[in-house]
Amino acid sequence: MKFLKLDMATAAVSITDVPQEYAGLGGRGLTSLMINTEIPAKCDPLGPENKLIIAPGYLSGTALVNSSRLSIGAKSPLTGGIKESNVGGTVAADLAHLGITAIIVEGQASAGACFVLKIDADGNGELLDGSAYKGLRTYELVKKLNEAFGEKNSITCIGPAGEFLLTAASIQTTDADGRPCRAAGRGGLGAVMGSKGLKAVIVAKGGKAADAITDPDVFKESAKIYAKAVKDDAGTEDLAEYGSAGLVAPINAVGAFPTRNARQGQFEEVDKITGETMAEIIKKRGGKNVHMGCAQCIIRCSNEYVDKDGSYVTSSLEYETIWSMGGMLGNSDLDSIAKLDFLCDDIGLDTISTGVAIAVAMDAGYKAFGDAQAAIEMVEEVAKGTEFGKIIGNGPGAVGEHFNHDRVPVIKNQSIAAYDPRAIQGMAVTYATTPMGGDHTAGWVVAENLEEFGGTLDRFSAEGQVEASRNSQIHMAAVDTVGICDFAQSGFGAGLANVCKMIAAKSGKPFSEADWTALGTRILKAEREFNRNAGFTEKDDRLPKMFYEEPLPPHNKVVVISDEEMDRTFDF
Amino acid sequence: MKVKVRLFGTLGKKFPDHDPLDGFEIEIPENANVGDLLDRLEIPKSKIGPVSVEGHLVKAAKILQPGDFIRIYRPIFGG
Repeated sequence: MKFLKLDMATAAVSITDVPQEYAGLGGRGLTSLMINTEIPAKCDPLGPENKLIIAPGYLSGTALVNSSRLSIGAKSPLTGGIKESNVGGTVAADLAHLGITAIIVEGQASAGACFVLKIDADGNGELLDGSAYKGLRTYELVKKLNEAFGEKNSITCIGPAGEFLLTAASIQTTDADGRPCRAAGRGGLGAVMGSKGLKAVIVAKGGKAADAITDPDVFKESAKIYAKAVKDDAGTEDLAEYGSAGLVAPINAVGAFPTRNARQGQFEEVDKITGETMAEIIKKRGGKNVHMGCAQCIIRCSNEYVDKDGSYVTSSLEYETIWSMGGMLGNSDLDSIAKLDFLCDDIGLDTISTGVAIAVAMDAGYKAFGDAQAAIEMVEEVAKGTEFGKIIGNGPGAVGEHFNHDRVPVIKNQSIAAYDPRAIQGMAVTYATTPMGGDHTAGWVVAENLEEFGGTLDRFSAEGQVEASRNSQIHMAAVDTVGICDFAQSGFGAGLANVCKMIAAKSGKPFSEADWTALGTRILKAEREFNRNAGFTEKDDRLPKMFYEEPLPPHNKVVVISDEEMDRTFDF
Repeated sequence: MKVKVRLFGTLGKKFPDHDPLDGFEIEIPENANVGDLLDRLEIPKSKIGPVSVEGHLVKAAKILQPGDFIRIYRPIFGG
């Protein structure tokens, strides 16, 4: 249990014990409470007062399956509020194996300086001159870092977009195959890393200094029960075969698949971009379905998309990207979607914000919907650093401003994801109220909203939506703290008490189901407090007017959650 | 009467003649509804998500017509 602190101004690295106030925390709980305590809310997110905090989940690096999730937190340059961006890969497990609770990046290197952080197998860190790596795209960067430091590392890094300080810039991290294809995409944290002068973090694998588990027998037993519940869940096989892309067909079927910058809720060419189509193409061309992307994963929802010659294009092609670069652009060409996914990973861009930025540009008439080549050129412009590239790289809000176009589906300047809030009212509450800005993972209430197929809520009615979103947001804040993968939440089928047992078995302190809820609530309160101090008001917990005023075909509904109901979400 | 059925996700795996991208044709009694079709396919209700006929979402009581194209989706999970 230690913090690795980087003072970027002096290139000093220090190791400190985890202060008592942060004991028992990891992931989002740690990043958000630390941000609220230690970062001035009104600071320049790209200035020296901001901190970039990189924290594995509390259960990362343990024997628990699907627990290699990393939280990266800072004040967001995109939203101006608090941000936790969550990513898989292997780095969370690798950091936890070294006993590192968090890397805290403070201050700022002098203008033009570029560093890489190397953490060795003993958990010691050193900031090294990284000027040779300046400007590199992530795949080339990883190749060069592997040549210099060997391949037994995980690498977390930024591409040109982060170096340009663009607010749709991601932080990429390597997957189980060592490719920088996993993204902490949301909130522009790549720009924060770039502003610090930090290009990459290289973490040695195989550390032997993981935090001790106080009661290993209880932990092992509960971890086994959890793994069995994941394995036995009906959804696990589907996730393996089709990945998150299996959502394309059903979400489109229920009319909640935002199409052509959310002008329609169904895409008439959807059959060309479903998860089923993707899986067939991959199979036929010799790519990989049922692919392991993250450490300790037993679901294997990842895939490796290849071109007609069988050569690697990207990994992993996901639902949100198929939406943002597909349906949202009126683009049914899966090969171009895969290429756009690769380009975003390589340049270091959030695929959601970038796709939606292009969608807004097309909606404003800059290029026609469906023009995949134009989309590719727009993303390439980001890497070139052109004026228009900077606008795209700053996300949909910047594009809307540039074209003086008001159909911009953002909340707190961050774009929505692939569920239209007019067709799933619960997602309207989550998008509007989460302290993160438009974000689907903060409180995914899609399944609960499908009343006609087992859900308990009428998805077109306001009734019960605030409560559903609130409960989900509290739960997810805790999930993101322990570092369990969202897709492995089927393990909660064995009971929340079983998860609480693992937390208690690690810490040696009692941890009840009530403590779980209290943890999630405490995190949300801290995040809300930071945003209030940064200048946010209840007016920021609203959707753009297109969602209240434009009925969405085919159901022709608008968002019906009133402002008063939105404000009730966090009445604690 | 004959209808066309496409099963999404892993639902189609147990039917050898089901094409994952195109589905298959099956014979069902006249006036059968969607619930009857699901019984005929012997897919547990817990494994079924949305169902559409000719692109429109339907409930189990929807009566089917000859030649209808029925899409049966998996339950929605993920995030």
